[in-house]
Parts: sequence; structure tokens; C-alpha cells
Amino acid sequence: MNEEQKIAKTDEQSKALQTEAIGTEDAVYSPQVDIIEKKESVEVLADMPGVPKENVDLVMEEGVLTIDGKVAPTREDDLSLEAGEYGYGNYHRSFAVGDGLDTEGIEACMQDGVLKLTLPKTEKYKPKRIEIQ
Amino acid sequence: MVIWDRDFGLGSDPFSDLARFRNTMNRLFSSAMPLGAQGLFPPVNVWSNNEKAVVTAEVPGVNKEDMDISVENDALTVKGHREHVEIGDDESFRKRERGYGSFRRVIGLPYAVDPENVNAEYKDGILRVELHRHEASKPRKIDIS
Repeated sequence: MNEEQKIAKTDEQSKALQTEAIGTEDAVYSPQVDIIEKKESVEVLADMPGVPKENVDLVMEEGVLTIDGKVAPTREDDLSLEAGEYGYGNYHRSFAVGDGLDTEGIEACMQDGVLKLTLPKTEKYKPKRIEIQ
Repeated sequence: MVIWDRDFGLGSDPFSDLARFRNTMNRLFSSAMPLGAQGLFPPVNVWSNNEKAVVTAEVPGVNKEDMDISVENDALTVKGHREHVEIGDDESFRKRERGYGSFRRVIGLPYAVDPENVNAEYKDGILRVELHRHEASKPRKIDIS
């Protein structure tokens, strides 16, 4: 093995170690969420660090809302990993949405790696005050 | 309850015994978790070569203004605060998994860095700090006279 091959080999090994430590973008994580029930809507907050707005995919199908977030690659190609505490991967989670929510009126925004969804309640499910005769 | 988690493979009936049990468990554990309760916060990755080091940290939902970065010798300190979600009297948490509160981490670097040459950026909930090796800590070849 000549010097060049040796370096290539070490490089390969270090790449393999990195993959072991922080995974590949193929990994899938479930984002942590807060769900808040408000008077007229339900709000969902999901942590998806590393996902830009344009990489978020929201699909509503047969009463199931699916969130998909694709991380933007943030590898440091010319550097080697000293310590890896979080892995790279995409985010995926789905929720069943009941009849009480207006799925046509879902609003979504993404800021600083947090997805915020607002699902308005349908008229029927909004709280109503009942007058005593 | 008008929205519920599907990921545990339960059927779509939210009132099944199992779902009810899970709801109870969720309520028990749903008081908001302080940051760091599930491990160090923020989690970081440290990269380096002989000239520079890069530290990235996952800090979603933190305002740039609420973060403080400082460098001393071979240590990077990241301090900050994540606001917890305020809710009104007639609002309630159905699920509460996201942590909140103050955090402070001291991250060891492979060598002393130049405190005058640090670049930090915050994008999509990821903090990235680029640091350069201090001249004085670079190895010097010594000639034998």
C-alpha cells in the first residue's frame, strides 16, 4: 500500500466513523410537538431543526395529516468530526384529524426550524354560550 | 379531542381503552419539560481540521437575540433561552413534548482559537459557529542548529 492509498483508506475509515456517529440523511426522526387547543382552532408546533421552509411537505389525506421535513445537508466536507451528539435525518409524523377541524383552512408557517400549523375548528365544534331562558 | 397522534399504530377510535390509557399517560407526563431534561441541550456536533473548527448546534425556535456566544482559549460557551409557549385560560395543551427554559453549554475545542476571528450564523434552527486556530497554538517546526 503506498502513501496515497493509506491516506485514502484513513479517509474512508474516518467517513465510516462519522456515519456511525451522526448517521446519514436517510434516518427518520419524529419531531417533538406541542399541540394546543384554542377556542377556535388547534395549533401544532413541531421542532424540525435544519429544515428550511421549502423542504416541508404537508399532506392531508383521508383524515390523516402527514408532516415531512427534509434536512438541508450541513456536513463540513473538509473537516473531520470530533464529537457527534445529534444525527442527521429527516422528520416524519402523522396525525389523525377529526371532523371537528376544517382541513381546508389549515395554515402553516415555518420559522427558525419550528413548524406552526393552525387548524381552524368547524363551526359545529366552536364553543357556544347557551342562554338560559 | 379533535386531533391525535397516529404514530403508535392505534386505530382511529380515540375513545378506545388503549387510547384513553395513553391519554392519561400523556397527561401525566405532559407538563412541559425543561430544556436538558432529555439530555444535554443543545446537542452539538464539533468538526475540525488543523486550521479551523466548526460547531453546529440544534436550537430550534430560539430568537437570535436570546443567544450569547463567547470564546475563551479552547472553549466555546453558548448561552440562551427558549421561551415557553404561553396559553390563555380557555386554552389547553393536548400534547407537550417541546422543552423550554435557559441553557448554557461549554464546548471543548481541539485547540485554542482566535477570539477575534469567530463567525456565527443562525439558520433554520441550527447555530453554526466557525472558529480559527490561534496562531500561538499552531505547531511550529523547530530547526536543529
